[in-house]
Amino acid sequence: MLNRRSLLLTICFVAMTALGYFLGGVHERSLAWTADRRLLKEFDIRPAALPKYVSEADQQLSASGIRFEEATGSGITFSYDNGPEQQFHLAETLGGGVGAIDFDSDTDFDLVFVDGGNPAEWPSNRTSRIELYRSEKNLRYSAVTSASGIEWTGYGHGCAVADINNDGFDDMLITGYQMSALYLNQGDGTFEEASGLREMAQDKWCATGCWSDLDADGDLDLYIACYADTPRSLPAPVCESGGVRIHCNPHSYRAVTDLLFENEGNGKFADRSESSGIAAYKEYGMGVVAADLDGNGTVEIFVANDGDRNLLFRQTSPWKYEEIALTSGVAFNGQGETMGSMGVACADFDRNGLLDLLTTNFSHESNALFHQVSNLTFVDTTQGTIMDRTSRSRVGWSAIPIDADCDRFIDLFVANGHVTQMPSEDWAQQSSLLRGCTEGFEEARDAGRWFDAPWHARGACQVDLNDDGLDDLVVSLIDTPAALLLNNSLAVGNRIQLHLIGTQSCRSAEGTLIEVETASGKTTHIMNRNAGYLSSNSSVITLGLGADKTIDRLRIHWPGGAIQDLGPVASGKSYTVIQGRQGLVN
Amino acid sequence: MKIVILSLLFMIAGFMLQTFNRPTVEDLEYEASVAWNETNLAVAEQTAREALGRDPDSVRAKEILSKLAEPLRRPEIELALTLGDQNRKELTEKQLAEAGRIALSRSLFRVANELFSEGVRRSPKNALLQQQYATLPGLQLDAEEMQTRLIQWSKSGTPPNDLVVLFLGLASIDSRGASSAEEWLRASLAADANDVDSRLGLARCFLAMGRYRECIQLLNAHCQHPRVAILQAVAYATDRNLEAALQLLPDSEPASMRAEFWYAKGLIFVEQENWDEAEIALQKAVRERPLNKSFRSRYCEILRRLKKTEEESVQVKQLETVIRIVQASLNIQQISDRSELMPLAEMCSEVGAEDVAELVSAVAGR
Repeated sequence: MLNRRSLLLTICFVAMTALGYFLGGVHERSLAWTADRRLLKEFDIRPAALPKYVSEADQQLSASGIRFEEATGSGITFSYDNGPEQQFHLAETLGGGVGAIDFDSDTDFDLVFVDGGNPAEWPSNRTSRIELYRSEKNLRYSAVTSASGIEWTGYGHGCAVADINNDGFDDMLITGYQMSALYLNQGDGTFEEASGLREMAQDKWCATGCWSDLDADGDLDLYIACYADTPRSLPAPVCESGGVRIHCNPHSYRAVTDLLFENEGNGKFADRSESSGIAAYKEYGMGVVAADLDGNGTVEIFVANDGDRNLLFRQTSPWKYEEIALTSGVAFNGQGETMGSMGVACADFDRNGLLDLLTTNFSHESNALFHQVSNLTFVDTTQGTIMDRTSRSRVGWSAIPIDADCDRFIDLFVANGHVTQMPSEDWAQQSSLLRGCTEGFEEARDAGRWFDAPWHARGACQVDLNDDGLDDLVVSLIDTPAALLLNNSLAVGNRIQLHLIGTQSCRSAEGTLIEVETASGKTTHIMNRNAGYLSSNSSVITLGLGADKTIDRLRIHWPGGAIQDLGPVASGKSYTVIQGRQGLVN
Repeated sequence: MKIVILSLLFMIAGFMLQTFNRPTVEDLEYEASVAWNETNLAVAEQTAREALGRDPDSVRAKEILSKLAEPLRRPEIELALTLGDQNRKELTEKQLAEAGRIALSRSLFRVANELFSEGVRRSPKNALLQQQYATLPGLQLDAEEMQTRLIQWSKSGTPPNDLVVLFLGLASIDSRGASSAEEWLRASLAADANDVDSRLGLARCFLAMGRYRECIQLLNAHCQHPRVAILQAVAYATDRNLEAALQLLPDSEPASMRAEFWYAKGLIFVEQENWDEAEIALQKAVRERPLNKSFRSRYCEILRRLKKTEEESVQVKQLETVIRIVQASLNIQQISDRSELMPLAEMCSEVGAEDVAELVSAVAGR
């Protein structure tokens, strides 16, 4: 009995000792430092990771039906050489343009590409930096630069193609770093440099040239958007981002005035830059378009400036201009911000009968679509649209309005690529294709393999390369052979193609407005060969008609104000319209 | 009775055994160091806590805990190490400023705000505290609050030139300015999901960068909060989802974020093509926040649509002036001469931002 009691007591004492030991441990732990936990409670701090955002772009959408396929074996090997690596000269960022030019007047469009080189070495030790390709049969091209007589040895950017002397042959202006030159087509497959223009352009660094009959005298005058001058500090500055050396923005360079030349019709040009009032504005000009935006018979000039406000010049009297971008609503975007505007497009995107303007912009900025709501009154309604959502991550250059599926709604191609290797952004970028629809635009998904890959794209033009009645695209790429993108869209609507020949107005009919009336309604188009960025489109216009098989009335507003009505016009054909002559030449 | 006493004695003995058996503070510090070196973070934390519990002055334990704050994602540790066991009310102004600075550097913006606020309340003439207090809303892209704090400060002292210039640059934040703020605002929300101001800041950042749907999603967590609801309405209206925007907007003008309230209303009326109402709403937004480019730009657009040419011309000039103010503010790296601020004050006055003009003049003329 005693032993049992002793055993119980022993167990009890051992248990109590263990309890004491345990409590001692608890006490020890309670002494541990917990001030941070008190803080969490006091301030109600609740650490949490942000949920991952699934963007609309990551969601699967159905294909739009617009498709482009890259042509292979064309013989075009041109790639734009923008200069040696690690040099960081600003000129290297601009890239080069491409022009659709029928230089031999065989009705097949040939192609001209402008090359760069090394801006730091210019102008010494250079060979020609223009590549002219003649169209042969079956999408084959042959290089004919050496036989063409063109000897451009500058660091080039843009080419503006037009028949500037009304002789029926396409001429071309080449713009570039501290040198620009005009080459006149001799009609025998060769070109000769026009005297005077190179000197008049001085040593300005110019981007895009734009031909338009500004004084309605029947020949094409010239506006050149010029970019920048020498750096503010020498040698050319190099900037840094996240520890990586990058190109500086244009504000490290001096801004320059643009150039305006009157074609005097005798092979000579008069410099109207100062007297017209445009030289009062010093910005960083890149893209330019000239069009009669308000339909009053005179041509307005819109200039997209990089990192500065855009300019819109309205003619007040012959060769006098006032700048109205601010009051017209195109100087800044809808948020009142200046943009890194590069390319320009001009088209009636919203089908209200008035031409709209579009600028392609830098990354983190949306491209901006300025709708013209009444005469020279524009509103930027891009915010919240698909264009806003898809363009902010990219740097946009050439913008081409194109009705790829001929459904009467204008689609939009934008060539993209960053200016420099930024640490947190893609250098090469996918180009964009938006499909026009009733609501505005929708993303053109599944547009072809070329659109899935990133490129350093800059200049681009539209031209029907394979004579199938559909507009194709040619894109100039940095350090990569240029891309010929054949329009292979599904469910294509009815269409016609027009080639306009002016007689009282300039022969090339640059700036002509075309109103198309069909059973489905009216659409407005512009013959705007030089619009955009560094490049020139074909002079043939493709008009999509959707399900309509006939154009009831085709109204042509020739430059200078003459109006010509034609119709009915059957779809599925290519026509030539000669100013003043009734009927169409099939 | 004897047995009870004996039991208690055994328990005490057990307790004492534990106490005598425990490792010394030095042992704990050593153990924590070894665990840290072996990246055994849980053991390092526990032992360092015990060491610090036993010796509140243990430098090694503090050092290890401080190092642990980052990998453990516990920014409050470092702050607590600074504050010690003291109550907020017991802290000196200097300690408040230091603790606030640490909270700020560890992305605890809300805590920093409370500490600076306490400091400023107690000592309105302490320039360091005032500066930190006024800078904080700038980090959260809240121009309205930053303005209020700067004006408040100017009544008892003189805010520095640089801070005023920073505010003027912030007044019209754009996509480029906003993108740089994303990183620290994300860090702030990761550290403290209850920080509504940082949430609003990140939402403003997304709005400026055109990421409207991301903005909406971010604000969903606190959409019952009145300020959050207004900003979410702005995001919905910008994204053209009128129904959702209308549901969120209060019926009458709120006490704060009035400018955003009228801006959202304006956007809704624009989308409904009710130009007259849009004009009224956007005019109110501009009056509330005269230095905001977006509000002004939208207002100009409406006047242009309504063909109110004269008014539009005045507003366009003012928009140009606002852009000049913002550009000048962004380009001024360091102001050596206070007179450089005077033109900015005049420009602020030109665009109707009288209280800001007064603030800038006061700083320029001190």
